[in-house]
Amino acid sequence: MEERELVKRAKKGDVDAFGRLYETVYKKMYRYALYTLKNSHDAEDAVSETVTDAFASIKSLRSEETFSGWIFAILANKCRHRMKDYYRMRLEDVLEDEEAGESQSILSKSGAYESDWNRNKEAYHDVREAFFALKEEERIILGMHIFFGYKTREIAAQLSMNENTVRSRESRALQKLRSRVKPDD
Amino acid sequence: MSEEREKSWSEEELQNLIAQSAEEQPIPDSLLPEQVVERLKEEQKATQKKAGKKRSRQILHLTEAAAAIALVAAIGGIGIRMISSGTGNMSGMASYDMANTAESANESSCEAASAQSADGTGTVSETETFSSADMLGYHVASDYEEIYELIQQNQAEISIIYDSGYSGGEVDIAEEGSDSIADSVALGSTAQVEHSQTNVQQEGVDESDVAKTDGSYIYQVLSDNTLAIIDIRGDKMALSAEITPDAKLLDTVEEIYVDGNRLYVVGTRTDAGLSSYDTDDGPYYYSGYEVSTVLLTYDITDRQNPVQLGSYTQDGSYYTSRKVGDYIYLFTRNDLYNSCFDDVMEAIPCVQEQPVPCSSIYISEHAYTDLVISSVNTVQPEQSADQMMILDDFSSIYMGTSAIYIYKSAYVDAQSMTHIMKFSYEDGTFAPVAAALVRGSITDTFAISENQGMLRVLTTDWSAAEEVNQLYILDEQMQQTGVIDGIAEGESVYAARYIGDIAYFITYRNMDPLFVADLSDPSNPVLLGSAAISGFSDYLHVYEDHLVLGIGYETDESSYVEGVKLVMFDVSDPLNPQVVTSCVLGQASGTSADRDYKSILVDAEKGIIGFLTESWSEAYSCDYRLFTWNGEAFLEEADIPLSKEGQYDQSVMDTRGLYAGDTFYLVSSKSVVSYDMAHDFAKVDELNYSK
Repeated sequence: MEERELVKRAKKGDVDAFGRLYETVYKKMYRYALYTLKNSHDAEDAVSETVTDAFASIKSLRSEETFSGWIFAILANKCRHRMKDYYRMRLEDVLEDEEAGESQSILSKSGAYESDWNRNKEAYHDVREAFFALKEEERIILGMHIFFGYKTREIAAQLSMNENTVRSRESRALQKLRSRVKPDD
Repeated sequence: MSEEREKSWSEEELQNLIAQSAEEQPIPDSLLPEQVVERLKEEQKATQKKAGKKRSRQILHLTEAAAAIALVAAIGGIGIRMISSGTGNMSGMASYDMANTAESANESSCEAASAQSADGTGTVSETETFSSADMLGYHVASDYEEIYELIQQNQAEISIIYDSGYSGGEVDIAEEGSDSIADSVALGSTAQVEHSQTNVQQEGVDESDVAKTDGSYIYQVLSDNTLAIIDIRGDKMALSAEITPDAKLLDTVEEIYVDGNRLYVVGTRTDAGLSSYDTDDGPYYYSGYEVSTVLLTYDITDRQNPVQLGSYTQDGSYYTSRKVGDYIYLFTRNDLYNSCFDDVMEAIPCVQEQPVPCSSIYISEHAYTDLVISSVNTVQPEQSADQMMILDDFSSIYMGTSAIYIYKSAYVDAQSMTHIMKFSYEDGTFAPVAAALVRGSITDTFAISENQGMLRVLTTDWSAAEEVNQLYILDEQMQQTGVIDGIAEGESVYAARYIGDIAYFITYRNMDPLFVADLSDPSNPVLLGSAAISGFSDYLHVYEDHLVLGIGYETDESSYVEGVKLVMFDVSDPLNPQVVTSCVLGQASGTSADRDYKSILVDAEKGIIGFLTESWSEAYSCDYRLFTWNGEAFLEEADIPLSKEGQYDQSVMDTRGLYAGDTFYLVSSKSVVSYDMAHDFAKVDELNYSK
């Protein structure tokens, strides 16, 4: 079934149709949330809330828009709200979960580094570390580019920023990453 | 630096690497499509039972396309945009007298602004533009309807772009709020024991924090939204009282102030829920939430029996607060993009249930965020002394000892500019003074500073081919008296600090020059000297008269970060500053210094320096690092691990180091541990919160 038909059904309240649409984007959504929020618990909540809101308001999705662009925008907004310095949220919930033995911390998820996923293990680890050390805005800009596949113009529109500014911030962020992650010799 | 390029990843390789590193992260089960579908079906059933329309301030409601297009067409080139014409010379700055216009603004400003916008596309000269009555892009609202319409228009404008979007403006998000820094401030006269103070941005302006001490007690925010008062008068610590505010008033405790026998608690309350109402097309579902910021005042004369004296509510999410004398200033924000208002008054934030008066609302063409500021006289903790609101892009604030400065980045012909508005706040009463527009962006919280009515602003202009920095001096009416421009081309400001008439700042590309500038002649500020060292400092602290401490990072010759670094500069000869010594913590990959200045403890009298570091090298770890300075070198006194078993835990970043007398206290939401500073920081006592 093509997207337009699925959207039509979802607008009538068809959850399964919505699910099919969601299936095409949820991995990207989660990765974006994880890399901007740095924490899988928050990322999970952000995606989950986005789903709720998106389903509730899918009637407002206009015919000329793509489902992915629309839901990414909602998610980006959610993530921004969750940025610690923005809403100063506290993370007691995370603590409680950890005490219950359900740590969702991506850096400690048991087994995450045990498997022999590949020789790039160290590089992945380093780049993630360096990415997390970026400023929030830098993570947002790079995250939109890498995980949503947005072009500079689209990021600028999303963030109400000047395109040149986005470009310069992005290049500065990449420069920072480059200075912190070395390829293996 | 070009030779080292070979060793680096290309941008594309880096992006691929990031994408791949994300792909191997497991996705939580709850987000799998089948589970999501199941949950939505359940929620659908549950909400279909409910009916009736509910009002909500923050809801995800997206505007109809047709209406949106019509409204966007109606938005003219008012305000900042019109400045873009005819501003060829960007090295200058412009200022504008707001006080005069504000007085006459009530009726005429709207007309003036729209008249300007009509010819705003022409060749209006800079000075002509600024002499208009639009207060450099702002005017006082004529009535609430005007505000309401503006909000509706801006929502429509964004929904054209993406239907749901980022509501902020040009923001260095990481620079916001808690990211600014510190010295020390006199709190009250109650304490007999010398003790640490919250590291604040501006001496003389107190800031709330998660933990405070008055020398006899420690007051702290616990993770479960309660507060604790701990008696530290003896070697053995004792819990005096736990305070759990009424959840109907406040559900999250953010920060506290302590002043003598008063404890002030700043918190937030969120009312949320999934709601629905009927439309012609059937039920419309939305998740709505309303956030308020609350100030509770407690009488703690009896430290074992705190008594709540008053509660004060202001609409909006907590941004920051300040305390000067008897007044507490609350800054809250409402993100307007996701808001839907059924009527005009619903769009106007309230302070103690009274809408902010129209005559105190400053609006620009950008109505994405409202910033509400109110003052509370702590003697009457349920009364608002004054209120004001700025309806604009996302702005930041700096509060000096005589004025509040509200600043934001603006873009004029792809030129980065900073727009600064000045309001006086004497005895809790706000009055507009003037506004100014300067070149470049403020990249460090400490780059803006007031001294005897003069404002000093250090900016980096990213929009030029080569980054360039400049330091402006503005007089009381925000008129430029002097500037140093063309500083450190190709580098940007990483840290700044002013002390009296001297400015210290760090710029960085691959070295870390510390610059010293003399600002004693406002019409002729001059760079005196600089000292270069590898790496860069993210935070500067004037340690003693002639010593400046930098906390930042060490980098190698090709700019690879090798670890966290402390450096001490000797600035006794400002023409020729010297590096005294530096110290690299190789195992640490990040510090709290660049993000949360309140987490830093620097006290020259005690000779101690404390801050948090993070490391991801093996497993995640967060540590409190404590150093002493013996006049020649940094001595590491303690490295206290805070995170458990490699688990990432953001709450440990709220750990604070405090001292009273000769005892150092490490205060976290899990425990308070005391150490004897006179005896090699030997552990004295530990108080754990059982949970």
